[in-house]
Amino acid sequence: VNPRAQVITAAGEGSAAAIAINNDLVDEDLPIAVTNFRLGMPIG
Amino acid sequence: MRRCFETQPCTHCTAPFPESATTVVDGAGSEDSGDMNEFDVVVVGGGAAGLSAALVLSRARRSVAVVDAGQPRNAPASHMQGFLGSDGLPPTELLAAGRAEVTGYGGQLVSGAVATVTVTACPRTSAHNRQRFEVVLADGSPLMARRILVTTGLRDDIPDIPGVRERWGRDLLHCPYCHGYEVRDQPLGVLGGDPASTQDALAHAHIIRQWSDDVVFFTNGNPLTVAQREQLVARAIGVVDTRVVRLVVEDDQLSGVELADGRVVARAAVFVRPAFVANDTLLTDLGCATSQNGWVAVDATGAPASRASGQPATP
Repeated sequence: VNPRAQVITAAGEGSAAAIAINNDLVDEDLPIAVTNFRLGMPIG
Repeated sequence: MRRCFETQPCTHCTAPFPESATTVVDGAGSEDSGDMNEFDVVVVGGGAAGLSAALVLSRARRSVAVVDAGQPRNAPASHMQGFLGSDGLPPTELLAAGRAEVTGYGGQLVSGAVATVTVTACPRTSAHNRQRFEVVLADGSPLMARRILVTTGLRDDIPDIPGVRERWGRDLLHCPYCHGYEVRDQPLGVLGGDPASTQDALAHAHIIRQWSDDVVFFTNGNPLTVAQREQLVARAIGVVDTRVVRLVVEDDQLSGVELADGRVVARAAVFVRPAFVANDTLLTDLGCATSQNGWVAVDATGAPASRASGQPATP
């Protein structure tokens, strides 16, 4: 929480959080993709 | 493609593609999620932060739900100042535009309050055992998510003085950067709080002095040090030491501050430095640690620096 955040600050921090979360999800998915690839499953 | 949630079979282990890779390669957007209650991300709080996050995530082709209880912190404010490109826009219009943008990219808006968030394990996953979140709304509806983003912000704990709550966001103000220009050059007041917050209130007064030559600091009966009083005098900030009993309102406009001795100090607007209380119960219930200042401790990415489990995040 940023107690000094104005609306524009909050919007920016929301955007930054979204990018961090998306990156985190990609990081989660990557080893799954590798595992499936090694099992001979179709890649994607 | 179904998501990997506790209540669903774990298709990570049996499906031909990993879920997100499939979604991207197949060109199937997040709207193709197998269950309407399952999302990549559930955003709790539909203010500027939450909607902005949902917009970015939706554009990143993530399935997103925004849960909002419809109680924005800035609800009393009629206009939003200092927002580049939208200066003066009513906050309600910003939110309406934001909601339309989010839904335009497939994000879902859910009206309601979140009652609980619990961490669940993805079953039948050993190689990629990641936790999931079950978000239960006040009406009992469940949402499942790979991640949650808590953007519930904070609330303002304002002094319990008659008139303060009624005028909040109108002519009883907090942020001079948001409202100072609109009351520039007018007789302004700054309310001191309890002794513990006097220094913060004094700092507030010195900042507000930027917008008017006529500023009065109301100590509300709390003593000032010689140095504090000297600093106020040096910047031509008036000092009233008598306790404040109420704000005086005439014709739906603040006209003054009434003191315990019956005097009324004419003021057009009064600023106060509220105590900020984080709406972080969902995070602390999940085991997120708080720092010494009472806020949930976060790292550089905005994610809680330590947590009992899961990946909640709060901007």
